[in-house]
Amino acid sequence: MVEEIDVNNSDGSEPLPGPQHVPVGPNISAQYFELERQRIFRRVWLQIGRAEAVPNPGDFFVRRLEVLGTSVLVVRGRDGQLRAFHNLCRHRGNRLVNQPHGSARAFTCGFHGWTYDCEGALVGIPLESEFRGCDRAQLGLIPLALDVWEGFIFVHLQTSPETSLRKYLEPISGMLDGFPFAEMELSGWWGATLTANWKTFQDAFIEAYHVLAVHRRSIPDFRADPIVPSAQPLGRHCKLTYYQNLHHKPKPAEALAFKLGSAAFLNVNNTDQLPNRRWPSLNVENRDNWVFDEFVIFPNFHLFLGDGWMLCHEFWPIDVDHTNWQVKYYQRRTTSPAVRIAQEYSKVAMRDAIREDLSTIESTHAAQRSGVMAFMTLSPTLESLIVHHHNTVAGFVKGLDT
Amino acid sequence: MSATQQDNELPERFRTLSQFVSAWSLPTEQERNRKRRSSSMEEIRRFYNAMLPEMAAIAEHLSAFSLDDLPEKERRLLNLALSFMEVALAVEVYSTPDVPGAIEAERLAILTR
Ligand code: FES
Ligand SMILES: [Fe+2]
Repeated sequence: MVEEIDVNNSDGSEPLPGPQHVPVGPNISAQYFELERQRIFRRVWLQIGRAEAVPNPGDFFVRRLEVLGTSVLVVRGRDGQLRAFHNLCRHRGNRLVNQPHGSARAFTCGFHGWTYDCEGALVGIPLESEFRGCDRAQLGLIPLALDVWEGFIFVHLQTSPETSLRKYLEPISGMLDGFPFAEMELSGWWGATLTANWKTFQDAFIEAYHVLAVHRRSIPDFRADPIVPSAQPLGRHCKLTYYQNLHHKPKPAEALAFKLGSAAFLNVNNTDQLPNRRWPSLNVENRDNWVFDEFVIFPNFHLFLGDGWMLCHEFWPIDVDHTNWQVKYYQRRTTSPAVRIAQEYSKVAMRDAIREDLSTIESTHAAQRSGVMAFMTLSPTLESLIVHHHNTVAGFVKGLDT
Repeated sequence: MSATQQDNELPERFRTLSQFVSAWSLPTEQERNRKRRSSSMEEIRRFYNAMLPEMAAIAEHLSAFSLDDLPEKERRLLNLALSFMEVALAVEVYSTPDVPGAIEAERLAILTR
């Protein structure tokens, strides 16, 4: 006799949906990637750094953004304004700035010496009399839209985007307005270029299911309660709340780090010093074993906020099969050597765990590339935000997002 | 006193640790990580075991200073302590110098300035 299986949750709520099938085609198709380029990356706000990295007039940095087919120069003008320009000279198009970051009074092209000021105006043409009738005012650097939200610099390929940055970030902008980001400073910065689709790369960082296996060495006693993190779709963005094992027994160096005042991403006992867990949009279920919230800001920026630290992941597609990724780790600003020592433990533990995360991505992509497997089978609970993210990408590609 | 001895000098109280200065008192995350990965577990444990009982005292000693204004000897001591945290993961977590099963270390650029 076949026993009847109760598919309802014991509390009588709705039955859970079955496994979600997400097609792998979009991860391996060059045509699909071209649509992502046109319909996502050329049409949305993209996060490219923190404003405190360029604090003074003349400070600049350059980012090559293959997905936009351009290199972007972000520079603070003498008026204190941040601006973004395509990093190319208006004469014949030579790349204007080759240094990745620095401070400049002006930018002079290495080809023939055309010179631009920090506000992008063309201020000098060698042998200008030979360019009779040339109007310098029309030949400034070509701008991209730039706006700053809570210290995060975003650019947009359109010069006047139809959606403001604030509106684009809703509802996350409202949730984190006024968050004390400025209390943290950059302490770790790591990067890699992998042979993998950008979405496959991101998928490794939108669920906690992998912790049991991928982090079996670094977090062997991971027994979060609840085991399913709280997942929340937020329009095109989403948010995931992670929990940990409160009964984790720290080893000597880790215990010392906690005592000296750094909240690592793992165990947190000393909750009095740790105000972030009480920020209204973080740890919304108010659990003792909260460890961090992750905001996935569409399309390629993941912001992790824990107590006394944040992690900013950027996933930059190069082509359908390659992704450049950079992650910056920020910790509470300190002048105390003891706190600095404690923070080093957290940073090294984070970096080593991230190297574990990176171990599966290329082989996953290679296997999907073989074309043998048509779809991934995802848990509707543990991996719900991967489904959400892929659906959002598909919506943009189909032109459904407004 | 020879130049080498001076370069190894630590605050008086931590004199016994000066034998580790040339190998482990390294100023950047990249150098500390490279040293960890290129050392044997014996070498790492010898450093870890010498440092562990001193770590609380080191933190306390350095607490009299600010990071913005560390004297030379204290700077050396701080860099030793940072290396201790780097190798602590090898000793306490992975039982091997590098992270097993992870992406190759050379693939991850340490860009920390
Ligand atoms: S291309 Fe820049 S000066 Fe000629
Ligand atoms: Fe992970």
